[in-house]
Amino acid sequence: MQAERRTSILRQWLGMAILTVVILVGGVMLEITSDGDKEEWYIDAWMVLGIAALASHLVLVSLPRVRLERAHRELEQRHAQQCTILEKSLEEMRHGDLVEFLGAVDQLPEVMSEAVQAAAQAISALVQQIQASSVEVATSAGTVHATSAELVEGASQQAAAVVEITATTEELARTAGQIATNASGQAEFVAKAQDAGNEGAHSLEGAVQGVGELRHGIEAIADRADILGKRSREIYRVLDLITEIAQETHILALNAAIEASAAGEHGDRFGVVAEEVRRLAERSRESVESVRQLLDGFSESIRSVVVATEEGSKSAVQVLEQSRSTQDAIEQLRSALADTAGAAREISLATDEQRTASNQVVLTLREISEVIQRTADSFQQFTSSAERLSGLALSIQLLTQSFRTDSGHSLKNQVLGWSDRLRDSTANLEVVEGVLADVVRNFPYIELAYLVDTSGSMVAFEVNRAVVDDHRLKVTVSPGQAYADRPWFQAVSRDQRTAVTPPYVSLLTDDRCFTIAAAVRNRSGAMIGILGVDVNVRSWTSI
Amino acid sequence: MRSDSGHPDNEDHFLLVRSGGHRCAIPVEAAKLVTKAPKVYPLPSSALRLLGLAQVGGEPVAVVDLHAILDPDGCPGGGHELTVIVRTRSGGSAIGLAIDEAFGVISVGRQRQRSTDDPGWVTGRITMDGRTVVILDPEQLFVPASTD
Repeated sequence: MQAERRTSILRQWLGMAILTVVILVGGVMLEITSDGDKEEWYIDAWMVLGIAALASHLVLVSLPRVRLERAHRELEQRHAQQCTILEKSLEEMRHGDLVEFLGAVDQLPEVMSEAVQAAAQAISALVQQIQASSVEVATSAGTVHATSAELVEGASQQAAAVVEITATTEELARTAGQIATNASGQAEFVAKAQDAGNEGAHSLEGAVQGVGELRHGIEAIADRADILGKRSREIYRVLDLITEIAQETHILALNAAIEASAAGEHGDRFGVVAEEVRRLAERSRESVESVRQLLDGFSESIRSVVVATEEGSKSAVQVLEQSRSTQDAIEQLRSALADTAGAAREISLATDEQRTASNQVVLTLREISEVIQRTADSFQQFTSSAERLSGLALSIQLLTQSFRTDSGHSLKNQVLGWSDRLRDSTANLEVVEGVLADVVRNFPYIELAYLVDTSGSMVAFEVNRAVVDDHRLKVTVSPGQAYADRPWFQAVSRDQRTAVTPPYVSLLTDDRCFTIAAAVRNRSGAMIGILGVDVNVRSWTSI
Repeated sequence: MRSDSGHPDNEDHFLLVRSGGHRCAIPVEAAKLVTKAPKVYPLPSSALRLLGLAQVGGEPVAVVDLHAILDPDGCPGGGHELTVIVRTRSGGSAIGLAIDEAFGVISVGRQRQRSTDDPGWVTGRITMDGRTVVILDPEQLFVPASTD
């Protein structure tokens, strides 16, 4: 091509050069002719040269120019054809149909076709790669989102735990302060108790001495009571003797009275004396009895005194022993109080240190809490970023799905394949329902597949029962329902091309979904219906 | 008017004694001596009322439980602090009555003495200070018991 162009340029310059030479030669000849010599020869030669130059120009310039113009026209026609093909191809490209794009560029020259096909294949590979990458990004974003959500929850739990720990530590610090105060108070109390114990020990020592003296006094009383008992027994013996004498006297008086009575009137005076004696004896006996009773009371009192002194002596001994035990106990108590005072002081110091340490821990925990809160906020932002990244990945996937590639991952290609299966079969409802059932069965992320006629009326539909609740289905979908106002129907009807809608909330599942709709054509290429599938984003991304 | 013993005819003198819950009046003619209860030696196979033999003033004397005589169905007497020696009017045999207490010699008008249907050794009853006093006849104590 470049060689031909160089030849054409060379020919144009050659024609111009010949003309220039002929003109220059003619001028020179005219100059020479002015000298008058050889004028006719020169004129003839100039004519020959002129004719030769014209012939050369005709052969070398005009004829190639005509051929060139003809070739140019042919080239323009081919160029126009190629432009038409390219326009059509680029139109397919504009709508993302790389399959149709590749089919169209077959008509271009081989070099151009190969180049465009290579570019289209590169774009297709790029789309598929972007698709795969977006899936990976979505998966990673989901993982990051889940992880960051767990981290947010963990950070929240950590923050709550730190708050609890802080509160507990503060309570610990307060408790330590109270313990320190109590320990200090206890130390003071113990010091007072030590003083009281010392006084008690002195008092008890005096009490022990007093009890010892009391014991000696009681023992002296007991000795005196014993002496009194002995004296009482002697008195009893005397009383017994007096009683016996009185009894003897009484008997004597009785016998005297008997004798006096037996003596008759001579014994009256003796009888009176005897009676007086008997009465005296009786009074003596009564007096002795009174003395005995008094002495009994006295003896009883002495016995009581003896018993009391014995008990008092025993009690004194017990009190003495108890006082000594108490003395030992007070001594032990004093020792224990001294230990307790030391321990209380140590506790006070330790709890003071503990309170200081707890306060430092509280400060540290507050800093940790702030750090955790900031971390939680960061994780929250991270979660939001992951959500945005996930949405972006979904958007990228949807963008990539706007391209139709010859791949199983291209939903557009899949839907067009299914629409081809419905070609000339839209009137056969069994075939339509069979195709829709296959679609739903083989592609679990499709929650609803349906066919509407060109007026937008629902002809048939198939629901993925694993995704959609029956109760909601009865409310939202029914044959004959009008879908003419739906964006996908309007887009397909307007552009006669496969359409992908932006994500929206499904009425069947409340999940996000998007619709891919493709025209169903008859054998003559006329659109006879629209096949639509609603893709559940959650199921689709999980797959 | 006085009796042979020199006392007025309308009254008698008794030695008032107590044995258990019973008060008895022993005529002073029969009562010879009041003594502390002597040591009594029981006799084998003797009646319950016979406590045994004692030696009083060098003579053996049978000592009888007065309470057992007065109340044969009751419980045997206790204390027996004193013993009254009684003799028959003839001055022959002597017997000791074991008693608990002797109050003295009293004079009792005969009009106050009531005859009774009691056994022979109870001759009558009198009332003193609201209490019934049994008048004993010691002579009847020496009458041998019938062998019927």
